Amino acid sequence: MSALLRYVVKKILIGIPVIFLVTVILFVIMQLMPGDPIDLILPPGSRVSKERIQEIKRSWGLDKPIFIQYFYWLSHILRGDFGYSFVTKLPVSDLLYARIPYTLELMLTSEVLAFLLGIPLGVIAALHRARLTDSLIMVSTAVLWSTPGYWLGIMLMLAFGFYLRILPISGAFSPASIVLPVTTLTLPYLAMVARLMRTEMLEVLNEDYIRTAWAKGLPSRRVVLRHALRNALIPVTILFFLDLPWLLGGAVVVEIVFAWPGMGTLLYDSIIRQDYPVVMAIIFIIAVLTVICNTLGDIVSAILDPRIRLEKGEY
Amino acid sequence: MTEPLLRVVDLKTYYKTSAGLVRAVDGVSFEVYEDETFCVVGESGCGKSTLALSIIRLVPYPGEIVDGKIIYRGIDLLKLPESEMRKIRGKEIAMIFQNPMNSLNPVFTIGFQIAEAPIIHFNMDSKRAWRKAIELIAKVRMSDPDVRARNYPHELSGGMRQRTMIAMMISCGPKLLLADEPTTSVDVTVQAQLLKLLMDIKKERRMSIILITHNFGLVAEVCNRVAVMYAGKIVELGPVREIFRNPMHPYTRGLMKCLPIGTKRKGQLYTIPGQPPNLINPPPGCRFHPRCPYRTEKCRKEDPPLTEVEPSHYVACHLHR
Amino acid sequence: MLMDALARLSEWIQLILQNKYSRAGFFIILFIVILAIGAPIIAPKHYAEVDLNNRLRPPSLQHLFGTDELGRDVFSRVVYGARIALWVGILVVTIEAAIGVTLGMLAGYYGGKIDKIISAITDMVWAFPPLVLALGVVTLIGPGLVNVVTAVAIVSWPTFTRIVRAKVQSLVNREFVLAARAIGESDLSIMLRYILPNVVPTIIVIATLSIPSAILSTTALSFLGFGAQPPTPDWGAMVSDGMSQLTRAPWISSFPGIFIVITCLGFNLLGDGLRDILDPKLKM
Repeated sequence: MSALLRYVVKKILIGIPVIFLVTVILFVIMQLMPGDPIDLILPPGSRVSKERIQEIKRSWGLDKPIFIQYFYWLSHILRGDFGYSFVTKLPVSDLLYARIPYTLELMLTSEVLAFLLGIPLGVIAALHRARLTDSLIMVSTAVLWSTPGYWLGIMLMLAFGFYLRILPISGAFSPASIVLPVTTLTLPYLAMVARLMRTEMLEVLNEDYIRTAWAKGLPSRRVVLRHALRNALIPVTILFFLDLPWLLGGAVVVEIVFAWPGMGTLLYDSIIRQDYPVVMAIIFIIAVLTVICNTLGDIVSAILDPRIRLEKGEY
Repeated sequence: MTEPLLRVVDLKTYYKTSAGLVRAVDGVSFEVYEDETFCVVGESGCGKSTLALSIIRLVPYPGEIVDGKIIYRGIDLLKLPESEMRKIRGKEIAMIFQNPMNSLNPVFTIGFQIAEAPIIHFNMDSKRAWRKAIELIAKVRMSDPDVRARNYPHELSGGMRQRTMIAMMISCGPKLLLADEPTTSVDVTVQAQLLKLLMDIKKERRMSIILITHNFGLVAEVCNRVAVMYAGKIVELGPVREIFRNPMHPYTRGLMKCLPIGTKRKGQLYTIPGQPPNLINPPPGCRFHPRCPYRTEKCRKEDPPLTEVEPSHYVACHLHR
Repeated sequence: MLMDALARLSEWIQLILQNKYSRAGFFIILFIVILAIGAPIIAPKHYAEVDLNNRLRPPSLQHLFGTDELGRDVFSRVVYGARIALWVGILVVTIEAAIGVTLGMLAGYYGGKIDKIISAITDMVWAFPPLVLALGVVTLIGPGLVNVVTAVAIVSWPTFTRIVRAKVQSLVNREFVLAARAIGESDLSIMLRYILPNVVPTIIVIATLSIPSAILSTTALSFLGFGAQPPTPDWGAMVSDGMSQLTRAPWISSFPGIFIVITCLGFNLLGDGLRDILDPKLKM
């Protein structure tokens, strides 16, 4: 089996126990919360027959000891059954399935844009080091990176939604609705990507192997784009996956500002209304996504950088 | 006398640092002929690496070649536009560097990296270039060339990486190879092998080598002619046998005394007293005079030019005029 | 010892002032610090002073940044807000550093099982979206500025741990440490006397660069309503307050935000400059 395949399999195998660990932690937190566990499954105040209650108790193992309960609970979770919302009395999973696509749309669009624009910007800054272009890029990215997402969103709302009435400022009713939220989420992140790319590029361009490439008489386009960029992109590409969870945090705030109907607004509303089943379910989903993103990041880094595939003890 | 392959005339390369202007190469002139091994020897910091980088025009920022001529096969390299110089690098003039550990791109196989220069310079198609790479890997005496070609640099030892460098740089058949301390960072056992490899290749292809080193022992082994460099200038230049038989410059004599082999004094190793000079503010007059046991008033005031004192033997010293 | 430290400090300040970016950052922070310290003198009114006759007034000479829904002077609130931003930022980073550096030292010095456990926990906390985690913590322990400080510090210490661990690992096999071990010095003594001083410059850089994230995170939580409670003039809370009057009185939300940008920019610029001086290879 090639080193790469071995590495990939190893990483995936590590990810699975971590997900289980997350479920255990979540389960423990649930038990520690005040109230009767059954409330998390069957909202208080629902009119339900005694048989139904018994059925639920059996299905979720509430009459069994805690350790066994965990496995009942786990089997429900893995099937996507997170119980019922306190507030709407509807299955949590329905709420989630409605919201997740919106959040994904927002996040992935922003992430892709941030990299698509940030990477060339960083490369240009590196190639024009210490000249005007570089200074402009450095200053503007520094400012963007210091800008709070919620405030940027509000300012953009003001400018484009109110003074120049060209873009919608809330909800997801029209195709143009996504423009302001994505812009808000993308800009500060783009700034970070550009700066990182610049730093990596500058570092790589100073490496001995780039000097070797010049000494071979390779044209500068090839040296920069093939030899230098290929190396400089490694940490940046890995970040694409590793930063997705972090971007989710920003997405939550942006969703709230623009009333974008995604998981972020759901999370916020649920926290305020103390709708714990929903909160727990969202945290779980986020945790799973985090593990997946990290595993993907590890795999991608092994694909891109041959040095990572080695076991300890090989050169 | 045949036309020299390379003629360096009064070369000056300075670095504009925040601490001051570093005169790394300060008026250096010499010639290198076809099929010869020319050594440039001196302490660290004397400017010999910068000299090599100047010839191939890869002086790093903040350095700059400020004056002089580098005439290769009749063309002044310093007057060429970068696009023309690029065609010479790797193809006519090549360079191997000191530290092989980081000199190879970690994300490409060595086969790819060796095949690159022929693809660019000769427009070779990649299949042919790959085969040529395998041939070259065999030529630099690495086993299992077709398997090796798919290795990544981190899978190779230091000696193998240096061989890869050699393969890369001779791939287009250059007439001049600059070797900057090629064996310094490698195991002693491997050093001898690499040296022999270089010399065999040189003989086979009638290639000239400019070998940069601080190791006088190496000079004695492989060189035809040698230039001794000190503080950015050449202080002695001539055929190796001549220089060893009759070292004239006090610095050269000092270097020879430092060799552990052949000294009459058993026990303490000789070192030249004093510190290497500051290249930002070199001493006035002859740069070696603060450390020279034979210095005179004239040495403090006037910088002696490099003059031919015996046939083909040049010295820059007031004692030998 | 003190003279030594002072001499080095003045050396650093000189270097900071040489680089144009860090110089700008330094002066920006100086400006904000002056605002914070001098708030009672600089601000014309107290931040909680209500004036219902002058609600929602646009910027003017009496009210440089206008007034808000309750007639409070926005300029005064922004100036007092500098105090909050600064002490919150510094407090968060101090707690983060205390936890993070300690764990990083232990993991880097001892290696083995201790390292494995600490690294596993660190990686898990670091990977999870910090804002969501902080939200989770705040949900559990309740709202309020102090709770927000705690929450943000709890989710952000991994940055320190990872970098300090790597640095300690590079130092732990050096001769001076081996020598100290050989003469029987205790682990704690070695860590404090030999290793820590070598890590301090890096810690300073990380700390400076972490202040903007701390400010951004805490103001975000205040914006969402989980942080500062009224009438505390937290800049994030002020931005949120202004949202209901956004079109009629945009100044209420705009100015606090501008000051957040300025403050964070200052620390980011200074931090970059410090990095160039103290630990150029650092990547965060």
